[in-house]
Amino acid sequence: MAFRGDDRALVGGVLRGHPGAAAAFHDRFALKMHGLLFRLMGPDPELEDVLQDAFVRTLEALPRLRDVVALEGFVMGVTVRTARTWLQRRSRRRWLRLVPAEELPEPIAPACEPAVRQALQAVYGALQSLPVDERIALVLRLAVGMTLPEAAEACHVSLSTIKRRLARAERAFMDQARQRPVLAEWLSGGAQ
Amino acid sequence: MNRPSPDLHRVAHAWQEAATAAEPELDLARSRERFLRANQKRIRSGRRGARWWALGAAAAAVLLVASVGLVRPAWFGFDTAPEPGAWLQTGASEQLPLQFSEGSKVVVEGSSRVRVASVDLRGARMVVERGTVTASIAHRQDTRWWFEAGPFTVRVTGTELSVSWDPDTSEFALQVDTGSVEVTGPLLEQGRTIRGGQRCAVHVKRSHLEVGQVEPEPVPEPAVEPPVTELPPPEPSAKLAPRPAPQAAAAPSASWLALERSGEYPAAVEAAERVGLDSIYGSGSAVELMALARAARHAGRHGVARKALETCRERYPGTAQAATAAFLLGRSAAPAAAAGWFATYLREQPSGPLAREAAGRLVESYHRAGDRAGARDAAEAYLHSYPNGPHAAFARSVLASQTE
Repeated sequence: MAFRGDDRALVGGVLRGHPGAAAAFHDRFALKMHGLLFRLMGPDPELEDVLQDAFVRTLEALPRLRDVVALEGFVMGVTVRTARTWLQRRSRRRWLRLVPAEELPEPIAPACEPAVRQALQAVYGALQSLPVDERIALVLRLAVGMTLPEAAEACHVSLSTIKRRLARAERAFMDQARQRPVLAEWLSGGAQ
Repeated sequence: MNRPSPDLHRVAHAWQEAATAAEPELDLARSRERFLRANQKRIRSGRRGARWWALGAAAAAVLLVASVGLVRPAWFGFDTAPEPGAWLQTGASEQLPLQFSEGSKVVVEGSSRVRVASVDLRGARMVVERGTVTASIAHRQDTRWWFEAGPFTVRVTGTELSVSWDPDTSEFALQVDTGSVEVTGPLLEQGRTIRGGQRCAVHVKRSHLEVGQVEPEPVPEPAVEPPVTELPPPEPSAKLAPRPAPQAAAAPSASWLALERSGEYPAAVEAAERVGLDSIYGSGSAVELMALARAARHAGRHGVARKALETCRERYPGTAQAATAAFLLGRSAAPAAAAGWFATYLREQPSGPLAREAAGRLVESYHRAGDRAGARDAAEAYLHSYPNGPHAAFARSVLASQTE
């Protein structure tokens, strides 16, 4: 049962349980949410699980959407907060692996050139030293290309707060980047 | 700090390009399927809201008689207030919902006996002596929920799952819909992570462990299935069972289908039994047989499920439902037989919605059955069709092991 309609009809259809609306809602946002989560989390075997978690949270939050014009920003905001929860959880458990290594799913192996993969590994390695909120601010600004007001809205914080987080994150990240040869090439433009 | 420095600008540019190049491809169909399943569950739980309240009140009344000291800490505890340590038991057609104050819900399914062993600031520990519990555990940063089912322990940090234990047959079953859990127990001594969309079944006495994907729920089907009220009435079945009066026959049939569609699987099977399983086997439509199989499978009535699937194949050969039945029969069969069922599905539905999964399971089944030639052929066929599929790494490992 294909669903046709604008965002208002789409939200209404999802809330009323229209089966076609749910599928349309998924297809409308899945790739954007997936891309945003990939940039926030980096290569991660739990990426698709987090995407599903973000969808579930979006469904739970949808009745609170006040202005359907802001639907996309609303969905991206929920996605950012879902990633934040997972990043916080992962940072806490990083020191202890309860599961034997052979039981863990293989990390995602991006189908890209090794140099790009190494650079991304270095980037996300550098990001691990940042507090989660600062990491998110940096990713939204640099990797996603959001404006400051967009990043502030996605993080549910004020413009001044996102600026402060970004300032701290940029300093810490640049310190880390200069220690990593792969990223030093990025800094000098050599990789391009 | 509004504008990135030149260095940061270069990093941003390189980062955006690298992320675009490296972003893994999303399996949109699989993601949609998982999403629709979760949404279906959300809708069902919403519909059950009123029943939750009614059953909760009933449970509270029963427990008020059975226990003392119902005062619970304000920060955590039951809203329907059983005393930790008290045993809770349900009849064959009963469900007992428990609402916890931090947002988690646990339903004790029919014919079950469970105990809330303890509660604390971060969660609870529930013991399943027999039967099934279905749970929706609230996400919190420090959630710690445990389910002990016979010799198995399932650690939960926020998820939707069901846990079953049958002490008579020593069968343990776990299905995770969202999130992930860690399970330990016989054959799982080192612990194992079971993620959303996966299931784990252990037959302790037979030392048999199976971990795999939950078969896709036919969630999108409502778009093509007729609503319950439009289902064709059961055809005459005088040869198989006493024929009930027409008015009496229609109601129970609609009733068990309605129960199945609302996710009340044990009750659906019991209602189907009242209608007469032989009658359904003999005169039910393909959709009805698949619905009966689905309800029976979720209710742990595997014999009924198998019979319904086999009947669907016998009576409706060449249909999509018959092919799906082959796939489902393969899921619960021993490796050699499973290979036959998955091959059947692929022969009947080479481009069907379960083709990729069937092709992957075919590799697994041949490999487990020790059929090296079959495993090699299946692995090559899989990689040809799905070089980046979820079984690709396994298929490559099978081929690599045969060239060593």
